[in-house]
Amino acid sequence: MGSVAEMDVDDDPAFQERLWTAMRVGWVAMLAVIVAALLGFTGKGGTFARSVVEEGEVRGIFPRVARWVTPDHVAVEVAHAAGPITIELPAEFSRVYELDRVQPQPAQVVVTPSGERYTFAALAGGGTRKIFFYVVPRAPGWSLPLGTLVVNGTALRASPVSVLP
Amino acid sequence: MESVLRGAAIYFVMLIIVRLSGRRTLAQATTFDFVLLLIVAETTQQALLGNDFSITNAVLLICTLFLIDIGLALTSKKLPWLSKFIEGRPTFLIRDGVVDEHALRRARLGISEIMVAARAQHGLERLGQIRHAVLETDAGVTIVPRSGE
Repeated sequence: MGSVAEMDVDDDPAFQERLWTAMRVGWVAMLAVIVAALLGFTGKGGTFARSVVEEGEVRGIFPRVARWVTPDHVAVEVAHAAGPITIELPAEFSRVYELDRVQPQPAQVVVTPSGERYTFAALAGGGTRKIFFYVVPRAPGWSLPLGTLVVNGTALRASPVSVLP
Repeated sequence: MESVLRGAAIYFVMLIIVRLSGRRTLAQATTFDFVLLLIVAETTQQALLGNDFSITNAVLLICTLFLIDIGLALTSKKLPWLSKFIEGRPTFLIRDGVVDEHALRRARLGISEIMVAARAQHGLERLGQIRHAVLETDAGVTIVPRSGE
């Protein structure tokens, strides 16, 4: 019986062992990414995907993590909203997000020195009203500030958002 | 510029993930592997194109992907460590008639897969007829039968 030394094979057992170990580390890393995604750290759902900011009767729900060129939304809730609602979006907000549409449709949109002001008509009956801003992130970035929204005179400091590529 | 960066990013991410998944994924294509390949192809297409479906974008992406492939092939000839990472090295699964259980386990292969190769290549019937079995860089298994078999 001949020996392996007669066989012209360019093997490298030490390298192969290291590669196998690296592969298994890679599998664990991929699993960690999946777990992070399930928890919401990659956006689009999950416990940690959104942050809620409350100030008096105003509540803002912002994405904590968004994805580049992927639609998302920011929600503003106003409790006991009997009259018209005005929401001022600061310039920082427009630098991060491209606004696709607003639901419900605003009665008026005015450009101000500090951003844009949206006015929503009053509804009979009052109650809690929810306004959705459907947005698309303009570019990837880490912890991008969204500025302070002003809702019916109440300042609502938006949580920064990280936009994944 | 975005097209080129997208293409390059997706290419390298796929290269790393396919490399980390192991050679078994490439050669022993089962039904599951086939389904996986189809789904991955669809997934990467969306990431490559984004919302730009122009011919320009398609041409840029195709050029980027081909050039990276050619560049890596040329570079790996000059850099042995890169060649090792991208292509890997052959691994003995059976050496002089002795089964390397550790290598089999790490490569996620079994004796049955070695016997499939043995029967297909040389019509061998028993494990004892195999002198060497080598897991090649293309993820195939090469069988060297014992003399006289």
